[in-house]
Amino acid sequence: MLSGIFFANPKCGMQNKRMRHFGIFLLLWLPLWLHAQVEFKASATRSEITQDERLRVDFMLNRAPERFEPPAFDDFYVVMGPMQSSGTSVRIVNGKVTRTEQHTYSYVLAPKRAGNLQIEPATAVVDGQTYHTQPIRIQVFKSSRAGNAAIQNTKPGNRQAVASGGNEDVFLRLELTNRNPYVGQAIGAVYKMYFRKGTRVADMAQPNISEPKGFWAETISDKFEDLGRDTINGQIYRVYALRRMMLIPQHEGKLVITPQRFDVVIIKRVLREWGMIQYYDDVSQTLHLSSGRVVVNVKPLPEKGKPVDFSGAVGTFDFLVDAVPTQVQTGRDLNISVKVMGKGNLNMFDLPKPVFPPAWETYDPEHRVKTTPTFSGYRGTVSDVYTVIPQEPGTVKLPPVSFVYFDPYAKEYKRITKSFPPVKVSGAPVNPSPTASTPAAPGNRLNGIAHKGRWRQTGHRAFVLRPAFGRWMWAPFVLFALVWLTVFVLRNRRIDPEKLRNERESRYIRRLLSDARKHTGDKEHFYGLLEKALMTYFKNRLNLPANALNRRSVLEKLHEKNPGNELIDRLQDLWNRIDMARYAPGSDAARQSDLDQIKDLLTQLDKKLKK
Amino acid sequence: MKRALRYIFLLWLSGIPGLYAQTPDSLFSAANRLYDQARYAEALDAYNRILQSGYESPELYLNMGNAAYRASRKGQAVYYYEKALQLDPHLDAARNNLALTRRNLIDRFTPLPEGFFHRLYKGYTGMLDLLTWGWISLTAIWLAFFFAVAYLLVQTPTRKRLFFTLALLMLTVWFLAYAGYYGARHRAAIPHGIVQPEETARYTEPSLAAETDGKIHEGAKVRILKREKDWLQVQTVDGNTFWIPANDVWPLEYSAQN
Repeated sequence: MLSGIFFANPKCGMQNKRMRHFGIFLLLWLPLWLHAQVEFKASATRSEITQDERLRVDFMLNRAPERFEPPAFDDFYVVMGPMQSSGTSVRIVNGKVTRTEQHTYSYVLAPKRAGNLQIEPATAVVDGQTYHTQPIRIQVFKSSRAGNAAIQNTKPGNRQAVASGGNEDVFLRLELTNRNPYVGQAIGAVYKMYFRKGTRVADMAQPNISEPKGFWAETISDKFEDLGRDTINGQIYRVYALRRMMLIPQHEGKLVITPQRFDVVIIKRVLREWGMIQYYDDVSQTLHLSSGRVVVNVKPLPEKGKPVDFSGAVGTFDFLVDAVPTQVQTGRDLNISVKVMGKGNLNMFDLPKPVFPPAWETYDPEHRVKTTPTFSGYRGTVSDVYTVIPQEPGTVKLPPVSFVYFDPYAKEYKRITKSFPPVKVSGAPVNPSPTASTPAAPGNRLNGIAHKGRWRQTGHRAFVLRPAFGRWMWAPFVLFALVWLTVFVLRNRRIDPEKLRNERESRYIRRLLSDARKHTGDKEHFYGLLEKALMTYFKNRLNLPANALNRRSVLEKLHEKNPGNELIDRLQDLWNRIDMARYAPGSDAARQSDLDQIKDLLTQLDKKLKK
Repeated sequence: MKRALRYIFLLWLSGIPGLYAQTPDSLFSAANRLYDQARYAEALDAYNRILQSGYESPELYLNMGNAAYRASRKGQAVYYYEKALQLDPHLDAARNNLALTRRNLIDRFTPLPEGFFHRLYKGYTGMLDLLTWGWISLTAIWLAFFFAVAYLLVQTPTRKRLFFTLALLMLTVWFLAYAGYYGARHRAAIPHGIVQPEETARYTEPSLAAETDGKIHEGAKVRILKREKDWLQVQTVDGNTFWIPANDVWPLEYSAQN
């Protein structure tokens, strides 16, 4: 191969034999020379970084290794890699042929900590010989805004619906038509590859794209499609679509489309200098491209206004029902079909079921699907065709069937109701199947609907289940305890009747005296009240019977009790004055003093008599 | 004159909400018309709007059950009949239709044999419904209270004996009824649910990746044992326990609804 090029070159010195000899000499020695010159180098893009930055490390080898072992990277996270690229370049300048090989193993690293970190040597084996690279020292500084970079990267909307991976010459992007779909709303996805001017694709492995988690995925096309040019950051790129897909999110939440790997071999035209001469050089490179991570924020379907019979259809649809034929003999079959057509998550929901008369023989429906995937979901028709056999003659009007779907563009639920054409069944009734012919036994028929509702608020709790019920339940126990206690106390007081009587008497005497105070002007009445008060007092205190109650008996009894002569004298003195005042004129002031005297006397007597 | 005009205006204003807001009755009869036209799915939808407007009644649930039954959604039918019976345990139409729907279900479970005491407990508490138990016990305890107070207050020995006997009798009634109420309430607090999809797998663990152990069909009543995120651990009356996605089971929340 090499010599072929050598000899085929027209610039080769056919005129100059020496040159040819030199060429043969070179050819003979080249492998040896190459052998002697195994170069294994390690280089980092930077030697000083901050903690939230990344760096790339390349291990370059000018011979294909039998074995390559990367270092352990103890102090680093491997963000990406190994990215392996190999290139061969053949250079012919003024008849001189140089062939160089380059094998590069690249890693993108993120430091685990700040400090003076070291990337250990890598090992490669070439022709049985082991080679090592030099260790690389990386100074990592503490970052003042640690973590910021990571957040910025994942922030949605920075580059709408785009995630890319690769280098600046060639990269891969995943573009989505919509990053905020509803559950069940289809979105389109395109994997696009961008080639910078001067780069072209030489070969590409068939990509093996795994189905993204949480999505129902279907490939629309995987043709390599030229999409023309695009300018990004002032650079002109040629854009190719690798694959178009339809994705239908299966549940709500943040769904992540994990990066996909594409292997491509590219040929890059490089401008090189050799001395004074500039020339273009084609370098082939194997790249493992990766589309970035894309987050899709899937919205749940609105609960508001969601019909009960919603079966999960999302899209824009039309709905048809039919019965063929509409005139049929008993015992002959006819087809009843329900059909949904349009765009959306077709065949991911159940079609509405028609209800047949119980006397008809029915079979399971035939489910027919005719759909093609598009960016806005499956397009086509899904239908259920029921085969039924009427058993009894007559005209049957099947109940209408309605289909509910969610329209993601109008953001509301829509309903289409369709009626069947009436079916005329003629002929004699066919001996029906025994299940259909059983006469409606009581309890075998559906009771009809009610027309009057006893309305109440939803969430209303019956009294029996409310906390108040418990209080009403235990209140009688507490109340009874209180009542019982009260009765008990009252009974206990009634046990000492003398005390009770004393109290009643003294209350009576107090009332008499306060009455007397009001009647100081009425002499006759006043002294009558005083007399009555005194007599009531002695009747109670000296235990005198009512018939023996007079002044003499009072004095006799009083002497027996012996409260002291002074008190008896005062009593007699008072009695005398009462008698006198009854028949002689007196002043209000005198009567007032009499009232005070009687109060004082009673108090004193009470003290003596109680002993 | 001016004042009269103002009153007329106010009257007119107060009438406005009545004119525009649909009462549950008018919604109900509109939905019933749909049902009578055999547009069952739409009728179900219309009934549901009454629920969303904040009203319910046993009759509403009965009609919803019928509409669901006619639209051959047996799972929903069972659910709504159960709801109707929660609100009014004496609604015979709902009881009959529930039994009829149950007969057409795919799953038939043989209940596990129960112990004597559990049968006694279930039989006794099930004799009357929760509301009746509650009202009987409340009435009995208040009667017992009044008789006991009368016993305290009356003096004649014959009357005392009479009121004492009556109070004791009422206390016994209260005790029996309260036991029934307590048991029925406990039984009602056990969460149950109705399986909705026509057919769904019984998962051995709360994950779609877990192994499945047979199927369960619409309308099956299950006891909810545990909830874990979007999964429910449920048990059928034959004692089988398995996991099922929470969305597939409509819970019958008794305590919250009644």
